[in-house]
Amino acid sequence: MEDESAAIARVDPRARLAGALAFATLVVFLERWEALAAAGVVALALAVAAKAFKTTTFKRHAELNVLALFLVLLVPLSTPGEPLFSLGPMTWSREGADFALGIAAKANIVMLACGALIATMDPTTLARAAKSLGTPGKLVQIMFFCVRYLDTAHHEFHKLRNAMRARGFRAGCDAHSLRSIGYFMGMLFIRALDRSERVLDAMKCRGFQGRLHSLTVFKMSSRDAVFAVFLGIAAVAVAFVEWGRAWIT
Amino acid sequence: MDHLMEFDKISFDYDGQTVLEEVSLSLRQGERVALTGPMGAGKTTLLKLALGLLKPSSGTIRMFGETLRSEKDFRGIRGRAGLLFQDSDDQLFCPTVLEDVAFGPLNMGRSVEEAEDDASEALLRVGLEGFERRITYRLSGGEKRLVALATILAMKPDILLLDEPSNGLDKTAYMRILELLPSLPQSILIVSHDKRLIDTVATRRIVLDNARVNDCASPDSIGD
Repeated sequence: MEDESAAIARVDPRARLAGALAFATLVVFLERWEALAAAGVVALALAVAAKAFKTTTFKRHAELNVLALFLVLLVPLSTPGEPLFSLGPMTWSREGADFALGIAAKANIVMLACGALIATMDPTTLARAAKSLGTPGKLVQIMFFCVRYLDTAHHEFHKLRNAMRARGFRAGCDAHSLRSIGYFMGMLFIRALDRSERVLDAMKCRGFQGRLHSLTVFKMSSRDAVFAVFLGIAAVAVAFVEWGRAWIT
Repeated sequence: MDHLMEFDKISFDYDGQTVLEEVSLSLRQGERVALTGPMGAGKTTLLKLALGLLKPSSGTIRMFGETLRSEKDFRGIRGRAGLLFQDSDDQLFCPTVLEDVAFGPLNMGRSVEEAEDDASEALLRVGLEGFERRITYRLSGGEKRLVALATILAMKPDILLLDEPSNGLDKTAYMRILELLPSLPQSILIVSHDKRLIDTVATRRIVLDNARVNDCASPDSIGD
C-alpha cells in the first residue's frame, strides 16, 4: 500500500509510470559498472522518496536474488573467456561472471525503481494511468477485472478446498488424488466462467457497451514537472557516465 | 402508457427442457408485483428475458410501449429497468463503492459530477452514506446487497426487477430493505420466497409453476 506522506505518492500516476518505464529501459542498456552504480543511487533515491523500504520490498529483492544467485553460479560455466577459478572439471569464466552480475545488478535496480514508482500505486490507479498513456483498453480492462476478482477466485478456491477436506480428502500421489485435483481445477474454471458471464450480464444491465468510464481525473501539477526534471537530469547523468566518453571524443 | 412491461405468450427452452411456456404477464405504472413459485420455476429466467439477457424461443416482449427483439432494442431500455441480481458479487466489480454506484450513470452519458451526485444520492437512499470510499469486496453480505440496490437506483430507472433482494441479509440490512422498497416510486417486479417481504411490498402476486403463470389479484389470495 502507498504511504500517502511520501513525496512520490503526490506525483501524477501517469508521470510515475512513464518515468519508471523510461528509467528501466535506460538501465537495461547500461554496460559499465560505474553507470550501473549511478543508476543504483537514483533507484535508491526514488525508494527513499516513496518510503518504499518495507519488509515486502526486502522480501521481493531476496526472492529475486535467489534466482540471480543461480544465474551467477551457472552462466560463467557456459561462457567462454578468461578462467576465474576452477573446481575439478568445471571452470568459471571472468566474462561470464561479469555478465551474470550485470544482469543481477540491473534486475535489482529496475525492481527497486519500479517498486518505488509503480508498486506503491493501487492496481486500479495503475490500470487507469496505463490507459491514459495509450495502453489498449482491452488490456486495461483485463487488468482491472483480474484485480477485482482475484479475491473472489481465492474465496472460491477455499470453498472448494474446504468442501473436499470436509469429506476426508488428503492430496497424495495416487490416481484418486490426481483425478480429484483435476476435478477441482476444472470446477474452479467452470465457476470462474459462469461468474464472468453473470458479471457481464450485470454490466450490460447498467448500460455497459465495451468502454469503462472512470470517476478519476488525473491532473498534472508543478510537482510533476519537478519530478520529470529530477528524473530527466538523473537519467542524463547516468547516460553520460555510460556513453560520455564517446560523446566527448 | 399504462403498461410498462408486457410479456405476451413467452416461451423459453433450455437444453431441450421447457422452462417457460406461453407465459403472459404485465406490470403497470406504480404496481409492485411479487413473482413467486418453486425453485427452478423460471423466475430469474423471466427477469433476464425482460432485459434481453436471454432470448425467448417464442412470444413478444414489450417494454415502455416498444416491442423489443434485438440486442440493440434492449440496449435502449436497460437504463430504464434496473435488475438486482441474486448474488451481489456478480453485480459489484469496481474497486470502490462510489465507482460501482456511478458506473451505470456514467454509461448513460452523465458527466463525472452528475454521476457522483447520483451515486451519493442513491447511497443516501439505501442508508449507506459515508461508504463511498469503501472497498466493495470487503463489505458484509448485507452491505453488498444495499450497494447493489444503490447501483440500480443511481440510474433512476422506471422499473425495478429484484431477484431475491432479502436473501442472506443480516437483520439491519433486512429491515432497511423492508422499509425502503415500499417507499420507492418505481414499479417493482420482485422475485422472492420471503412472505414478510412480499406482504410488505407487493400489491399483486403472480405464481409461476410448471412453466406457466397463475395471476392473482392480491398477495394474500394464494397461500404458500
